[in-house]
Amino acid sequence: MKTLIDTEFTVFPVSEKTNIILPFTVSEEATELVIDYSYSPKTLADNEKAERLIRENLLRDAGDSIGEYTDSGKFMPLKNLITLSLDSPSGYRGAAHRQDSEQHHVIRRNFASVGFLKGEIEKGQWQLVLNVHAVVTDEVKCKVRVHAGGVLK
Amino acid sequence: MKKWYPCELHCHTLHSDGGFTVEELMKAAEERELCGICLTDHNTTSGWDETEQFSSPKVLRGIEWTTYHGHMLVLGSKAYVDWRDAVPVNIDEKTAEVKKHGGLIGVAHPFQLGTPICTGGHWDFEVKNWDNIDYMEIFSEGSAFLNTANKKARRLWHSLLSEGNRIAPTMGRDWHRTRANTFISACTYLLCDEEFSDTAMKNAIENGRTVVSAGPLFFFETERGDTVGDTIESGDHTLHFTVDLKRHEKIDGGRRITPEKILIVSGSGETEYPLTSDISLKTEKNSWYSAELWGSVDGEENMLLALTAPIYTK
Ligand SMILES: [Zn+2]
Ligand SMILES: [Zn+2]
Repeated sequence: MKTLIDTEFTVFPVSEKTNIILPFTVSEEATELVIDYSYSPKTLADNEKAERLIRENLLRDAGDSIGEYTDSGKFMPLKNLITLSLDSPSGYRGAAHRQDSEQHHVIRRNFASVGFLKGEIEKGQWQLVLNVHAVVTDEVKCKVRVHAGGVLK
Repeated sequence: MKKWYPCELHCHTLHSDGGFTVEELMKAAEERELCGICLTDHNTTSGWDETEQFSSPKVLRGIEWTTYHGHMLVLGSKAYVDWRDAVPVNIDEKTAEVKKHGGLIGVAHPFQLGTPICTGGHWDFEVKNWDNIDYMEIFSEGSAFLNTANKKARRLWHSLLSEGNRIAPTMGRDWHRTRANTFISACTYLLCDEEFSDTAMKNAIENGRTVVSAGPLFFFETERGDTVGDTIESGDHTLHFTVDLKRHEKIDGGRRITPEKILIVSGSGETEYPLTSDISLKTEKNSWYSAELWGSVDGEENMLLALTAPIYTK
């Protein structure tokens, strides 16, 4: 196992709707990439802030039918959503677009965790991309580890 | 031979945030007598290969660009185009790139609420070149009736048609899991005149041969056999209508659909007709004519049951 990324950082609301790129280089022969990723918190506990964000959302998107959305409770709790996508030297290798805030993925020549594309662990420049869809809390702590590994049995 | 095929054009699996395995999705589609589906997982194509082991339904390979500013469906593109740098002001360049690779482009649920309620779900792209957009979801998220969002989508679609754009209407169930919803037979019907396949599905959408439906198959032909998606001479025409409830009754018999009237919608307004097999229509130049079937569902009156893509006039 060789560690390619091992980092923790904080994402703020100003990064909403942007991509955070974590480049890494695969320089040796590898049979698999292992990605461990988590972020926290997942949900917004502050109900007052949630009401405000929902109100802003409705004012922006509901138009003349805003009066129909009387129950903001059905949109709660609001969630942070930061998904992963992956690029190898030869191109896009898929994404894990789902709500889970703790994820474990493996990519090999003939296998990949759901959402990702199996294939060679090519030597060269890769990137793991955090797709920041929504940041509803004041900050989100992210942890990312990427390993290149091992001989397949 | 020309034939209408029930299809579901918007599906998710475990490869993104769906509850279905690919196999479960294929089975569910078969149960609903769907001849074709589009696998459109969020931002990934990783489910495509798994569909190959099934001979039916046919699968048109797609992806739902789940961007920060709108959800855009891309079908049958020969190359991957990156969704991550799509922003409101560059969308025409992004759609042009997809078109270059032969992909079809559809607007998904344009009036869904956006971030943070449904991230990126509201269509905020500043499209200037609607030529690149092939279709738009008029019924979405399994709501096969004119709820608020669908009503707005229908209105937007009509105004785009009146500006001279040719956009096919579709139903997108945004199918994530099997659940006992009340719109089992709702689908998009596609008209194909070749052997049914993913390519035939793609051609039908590209040529505007679509019918959005809460269940019934509903379409019309002119006296010369021209139909939805076609371009005809302006002037007097007789439209011959077909309403077919067989598939609906077979798989969704518990829901009572009663067609009651036909509405012809065009650039110059709406005209209502009693349910009949033939309608004489005086058409104008450079216009569009979409037919709608209205009726009752389980006793609830005034429901839109189906709408056709337009027939266009020269
Ligand atoms: Zn969507
Ligand atoms: Zn979707």
